[in-house]
Order: sequence, then C-alpha cells, then structure tokens
Amino acid sequence: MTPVLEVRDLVTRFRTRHGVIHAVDGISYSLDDGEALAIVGESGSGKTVGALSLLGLVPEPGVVEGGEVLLRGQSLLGLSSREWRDVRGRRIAMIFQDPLTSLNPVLTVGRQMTEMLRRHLGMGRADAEIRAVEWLDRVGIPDAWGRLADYPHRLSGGQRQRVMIAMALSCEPDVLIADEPTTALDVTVQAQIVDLVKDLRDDLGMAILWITHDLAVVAGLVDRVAVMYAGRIVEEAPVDRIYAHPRHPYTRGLLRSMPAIGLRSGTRLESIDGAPPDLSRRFASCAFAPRCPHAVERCRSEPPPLVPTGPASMSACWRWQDVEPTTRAVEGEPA
Amino acid sequence: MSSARPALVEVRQLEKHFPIRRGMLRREVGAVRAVDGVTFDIREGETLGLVGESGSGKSTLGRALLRLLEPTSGSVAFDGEELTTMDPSTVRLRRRDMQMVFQDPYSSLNPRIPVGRIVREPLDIHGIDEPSRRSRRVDELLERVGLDTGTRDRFPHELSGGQRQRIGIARALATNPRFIVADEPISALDVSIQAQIVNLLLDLRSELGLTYLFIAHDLAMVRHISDRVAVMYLGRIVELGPAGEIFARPLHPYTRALLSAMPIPDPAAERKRVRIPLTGDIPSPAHPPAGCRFHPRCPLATEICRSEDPEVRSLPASLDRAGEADPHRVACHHATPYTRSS
Repeated sequence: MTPVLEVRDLVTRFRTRHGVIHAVDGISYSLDDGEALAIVGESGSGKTVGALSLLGLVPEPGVVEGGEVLLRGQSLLGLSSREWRDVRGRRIAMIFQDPLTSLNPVLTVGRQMTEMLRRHLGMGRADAEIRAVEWLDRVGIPDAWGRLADYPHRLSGGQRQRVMIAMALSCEPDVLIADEPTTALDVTVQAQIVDLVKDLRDDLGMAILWITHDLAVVAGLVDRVAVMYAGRIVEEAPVDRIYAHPRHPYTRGLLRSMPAIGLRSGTRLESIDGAPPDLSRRFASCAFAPRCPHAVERCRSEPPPLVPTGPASMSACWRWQDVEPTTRAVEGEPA
Repeated sequence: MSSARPALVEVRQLEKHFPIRRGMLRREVGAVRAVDGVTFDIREGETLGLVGESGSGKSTLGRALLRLLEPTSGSVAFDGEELTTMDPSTVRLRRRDMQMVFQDPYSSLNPRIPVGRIVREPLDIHGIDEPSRRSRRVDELLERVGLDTGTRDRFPHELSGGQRQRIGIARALATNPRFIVADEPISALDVSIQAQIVNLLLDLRSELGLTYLFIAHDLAMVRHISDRVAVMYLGRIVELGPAGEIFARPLHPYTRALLSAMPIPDPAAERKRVRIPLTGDIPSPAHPPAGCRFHPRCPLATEICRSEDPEVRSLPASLDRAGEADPHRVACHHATPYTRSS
C-alpha cells in the first residue's frame, strides 16, 4: 500500500543574521491511511517546523532546503501557490494550539466554514450551510444553527477548538495535522478534544499527525510515536512498545520524569539533567550525549544513525540495547 | 502524621470579588466572584496542592493569601497573626516569611537587571545581612537552586526557561521564607525540565522545612508533591483531603470528572479507561449558578442541588494512617463515605 503521506530526509533551516538554525535536520517518516502518528518533542526540537514544512508554511527566514514530501506519491515541495491552495485545507488540514491562528476574527463562523466548503468542494451556499451545521453538531457545538452567526471571540476556548476541528475536517482531508491542539486547554476539555478526534478518525479514516510535548496525552490516541530531539527523529516505534520499552535514553528519560502511580509520593523524580541544545551548530556527535546517562566516547565523536531495534522500531543510539524498560506501574482507573 | 502539625496559614471565609464596571461613570454593575468563601488551613511543613480548571479562582486565592490582592472579606492568619487587617507596611515586613514563585519566570523577572541584582533585591528591601555580606548570600542562593555563581552577571533572556525558574525560586528564598505559594511553577517548562524543578522544590522542602501551596493543573505532579489536595470550582473549595485519598477515592463528582480526564502515560490503561464526561463549560464566576455551583454540569444532580448550596462536610477518611484519620472534606449533597464494598 502506498502511504498517504511520506516524508523523506526533510531539511529546514533558518538563515538568520546570527547564523544558521538547523531546525529540521533530515527527518523521514510515513503515514498510512487511517493511521495516527505522534511526533513528540520539547520546544526547539523541530517538531512544529517539521509539520509546517510539509504544508509549505515555514515562516521567514526558514527554507525547506532538502528532502521530499509525498502525498499519495505526488511531490508537494515544488507546488505553485495555486496548487498549494488545493492541497491545504482540502487534502491536508491543520489544527493549532491557538484556534485564532486559523479562525478569522472578523468573519462569522458560518461564513468561514461555508466559504471553505464552497471553494474546496464546489458546494452551493445552501448546501455548504447545511454541511457546516452538520459538522458543528458533529463536533459537539450546541445550537449549531445559532452559532453560524457568531464571531470566534464569542466562543469559549474549548468551543473554538471544536469549530477549528469542524472546519479542518469538513472537507474530509486525507491527513489531519494537529499541532499541540490541547496544550492551552483545561484537562477536562483536553480529554473531550482527544476523544472527539479519536471518534472522528474511527468514522472518517483520515491519517493523523499529532505534534505534542506531552507523552501522556497521546498514549490512548496514536498507533506510533516518533520522538524528536535537536531537529532529528531519535526514536520511532509502535505506541505500546515505546512506552514499555523505549530504546533511546531520551525517550526513557521523558517517560521516567513523569510521576507514576507506583512511585512513592514526595520522592525525587528521575530528571534529565541539562537543557536541550542550541541548534545553531550541527552535531558531529549524538546531540543528546551531554545529557545522557549512557554516553560513552563514541557518542561524543560520531552521530548515531537510526537503526532497526525491533518490529517497526528504530532508534538513533549507539547503546540502544542497554536502555532499560520503563517498568512503569500500570495505573488503575481513578475511582 | 500531618494532623498533629499546627496550622501555619488559617483561611476563614475568604472572598475576593472583582467589581465589573460599566458606562461613563464606571458604575459597579456586578462582581466576578473569583474566590467566594473558602475556609481551610495549611499546616506547618506540609504541601497543599490546589487544583481546578482555569476560572476556578486558584491563582486569585494564592495571591489573596499573601495579600498581593486585597481580600474582599474573610480572614487569613499567618502564624496566628491576622493579615487582612494589618497595615500595608507591616504586611510588607511579614512578606519576608511568605513568598511567591510564578508560572512564567520571564515575565516576573525584570529583563534589564542582571540575575545577581534580581536575587539581591529582596535582601536590600528587607535589610537582610550587612550590605557587604549580601553578594556572598546571593552566591549561596544561586548554588542552593543549582546554578553556578557565574550566572549572577547574566540577564534573564540569556537563560533557559528552567534556569529562569531557578532564579525565581532563588529570589523567593532570599528572605528565608517559611511559606511559598508556587503558582503553576512548572507548566511553562519543557517536560525534561519539569522534573528538575519539582525535585528542587522537594529538596528545598526537606532541607529548609518549607510549607507550600502548590497550584497546578498537572494532576499527576500535584499528587506526587502534595500531602493534601484541595479542589476548587468556581471560587469554592469543593473537596479537600489527603492526597492519596483524593486520588484513590474522590468523593465530589467534579473531582471524579477531573481525575477521569487526567491523561495517563500508559497506552493500555488509556485505551480502556472510562471518562466521566462533563457537559458544557465552566460558568462565568460573575454569575455562579444557584444551589450547588456544579449542578448544571453534574451527572448526579437532583432537585436539592438546584436549590441548596451544599455545606462542606467532614467525612472520615478511609485511609486511616497510624490510627490518625485525617478528615476528608467535601461540599456535595450526594457524597457518602466510602465503605468496603464501594
């Protein structure tokens, strides 16, 4: 089966007055229809720039300098701006942390949704309006007809997220890219949005690329996880496998730094020392080596390639075989 | 263990309302009841976790405790001394003992001042140590929070988020406080840095015997660091009890919904869990619902919930540690103590 989305050796750099920032330094992954992949990373890991690169939306002075992005085998990086308009929103849709990034504050919800449906699907005004209401209803917006006349600022944060999701999915794209869409939300609303996206995926079968810093949020949502560090993917594996037995010390560090139920409260957490690196230099070593408990001489002199570590699993670590399981206590349901 | 400890902070019927003004004359047309009558103690040496959604009033409560915001009514006593009626200059003196750590250290640190002066400022203000000794004290504070002393000549923008939060903590520690309100101290930080800051707070607690009010929305972290946990909803504390008890046997339907939404970093557990859905959004604190404030979203609501505001009741905790039951307080008409079978 041809993957719906394939990214090969993507390189995005920012050439600034102060030097070059190697934001995305050669990442590759693919996504099948209906599959959900989480891209996990901290700020500065390149996870968001990587996603914006797919859509030709990298902000100045960033430039995609290498690699390929294929949507059903068709290369996206050479598209004209006219061709991009047919891809963005129609075939690949994106939702953001701040819904106001994609909602126009001076247009009503109805106007924005119907214009998109008319442009992408060629629907008439009346049909588009009905479709918009169906979608608002589907994402759990009460009184959907009434909401069409509302401006985005009239909605609560959770409702804006829902409207953005309705807009993103109303054209039934092949791929949904979600960039930390729940980070600014309360935990109850976050759970609702995660559940909503999960249900919609089951119904529509779109592929999902979910970008996050939070390994807990995506645990029940995705099929696979790719972990980014300093512009590269350092580990990728099926979701159950990576949480139970990560094969990169950074992934393990992230998992172990979250308090688990088995851990006696008040005891020190396992933290990762130091801070993520400055991306203005390229690494002739493992970028994680200065923070890594396993680092040996080789890690400081030779960048580790991504190598297979098991079924559908890869790690970029010279010592992946020495990384211990997380032995996380399985949490019970609260109450 | 903790019930034997004396209260360091005693809060009684505390209210903080923000007036809503309209029109040319800025006439008061209503009030946002951010904190609307809360009563609780924080015991010497304990960490009280405070959780709730945005708009629940938890940050306002933290600030009102330190009188960084003037309470509308009610009382706050610190070590037996009433703060709400104290004149402002005395409050400033008392604030030596009560400090705050903020969510975003960047916006709370003056960007034009080098780190050394930021940390030194409270020493100058409170006249702590001889001026000649103060720079040594600054070095000690920097080392105490895990920064090297070279950091003193740097500016906040040159530092990482985690380093800036360490500066915020060093500054709070400068006056040798007994009590620290930490308002979302880790939520702006990268995941790999959060554990570092939590570990620092834990170390300081055991080395200096600090008392914390730890305000956060990360429930797993709150469980980990807190001795007791208070849950806020629309300006009220709806449940308060020992941390283990609150997380294992929550009594208030809101707490249960909150916990059922807490993400678990375990795919198998996450897939099979059942959520308790909350309908709608948190209502505006300018117009809290009549009766129980949670009733419009509550799956258990009945007639009485729509008309009568539930009183806070003390139920015996089920986890009886060393024969000393710490009560579990809940404001819900339908809460019943857990029995063996439930």
